[in-house]
This record gives sequence, structure tokens and C-alpha cells, in this order.
Amino acid sequence: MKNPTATMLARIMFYIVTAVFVINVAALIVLPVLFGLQAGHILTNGILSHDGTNSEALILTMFLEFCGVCTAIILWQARRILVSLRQGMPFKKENARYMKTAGISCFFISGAAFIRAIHNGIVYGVASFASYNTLFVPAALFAGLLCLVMAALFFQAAELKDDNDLVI
Amino acid sequence: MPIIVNLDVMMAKRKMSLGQLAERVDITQANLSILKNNRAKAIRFSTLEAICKVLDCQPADILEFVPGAE
Repeated sequence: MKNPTATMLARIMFYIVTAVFVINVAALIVLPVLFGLQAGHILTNGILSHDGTNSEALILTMFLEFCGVCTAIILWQARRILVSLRQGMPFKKENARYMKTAGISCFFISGAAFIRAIHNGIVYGVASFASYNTLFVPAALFAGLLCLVMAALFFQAAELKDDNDLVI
Repeated sequence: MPIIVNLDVMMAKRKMSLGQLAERVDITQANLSILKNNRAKAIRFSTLEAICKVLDCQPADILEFVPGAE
């Protein structure tokens, strides 16, 4: 049974998620180019530079690239789930797998943010922990745990649906 | 499953095809096939009532308990 409101919301979200995914992939391509230009001293001030050194810009670029790849994976899984929502068949075991993949990607983002926070702490001192980067650690960890819980819910819902489909 | 559905026996007695029975009982042919081939996990009383009305039989004519059957 299709819910028209849910289908409409899923369609809107699908277009938004697709657009964000495309922007994400574009950023993944542009970011190393920006870094290369900055390292070539063509751009003297850019978003990549903290204090102008190439090593800091490289670390930041690698961090952003890694997180960008993980985010692209998360967005792709969300897109797949939204497709099934639009079809009116949300309770599939595949959706549980997609949520689990998204959750694991969140954990990777949290891990990368943690490593960067430790690195900043060593290089710049304890004061560097009071930054937006440190917030990514618990936020991404919580998001990952939430995704795993949702994955378990989807799996159970899929099993209940399979059972219900065999009730004539 | 120990409960065996002998729907095909009653259908043969009443000379009714699967499609005809599905139409009269108002369930899909696919679902009726699942029931006939013992792949169903449960049956609603409303469905059982409809089948018994159409086939003019008792539930015991359609459902059989065979202990130890898989």
C-alpha cells in the first residue's frame, strides 16, 4: 500500500540527495586541483591554507577527500533507500544493508576526525581541541550508531513483511 | 510444515481451476498458488471461510495435520 505523502516527500528528498551527491562528487574532483594550485603558489590564500604551509594544506585536503568519499557513499545509500520509498516498498532487507553501509561510513568519518583532532592537538596544543573538527567525532559516531539501529529496524520490518506476505 | 493444504483435491472434485477459484474467493492467483503449494505460513479465517463457501466443503476437507511432515 502506497502512502501518497510519504511518496511525495521521498521524491523531494530524492532530488535533493541526488543534487548534493553530484555536488559532493564535483567537490572531490575540484579539491585536489585547488590544493595543487595552492601548492604551485598560484593561489596565495585559499580555503586549504591554515598558515600557508603545504603540509597543513595536504593534511586538510586528505581529510576532506576521505570524508568526501565517505559522504558520497552515505548519500548514495540514502538515494537507494529513497528509490525504494518512492516505489512504495521500503521494507526490504537491501535497505537494512544500505543503512549499515552508511553507518560504517559515518564511523570512518568519526575516525578520521579523531585522528585529525589528535594530530592538531600534538602540533598546536590542547587549545586546538576546541574546534569544529572535534565536534565531528561524537556527531559522526552518533550518526553511525543511529544508522545501525535503523538498519536493524529495517531488517526486522523486512522479516515481518515477508511473514505477512505469506499469510493468505 | 505439519499442516498440509489439500486444495488441489477439492478443486479437482469441484472441477474448478486455480484462476476460477482465485476470482471467486477474491484473492490473487499467486497467493492461491502459495497456499496450494504449502508455502503459506498462515491463513486468515476470512480466506478459509471464502474458500469453503466457494468449494462447498469443510475446513477439514482442505486442511490436514500430518505430524512430522516438512
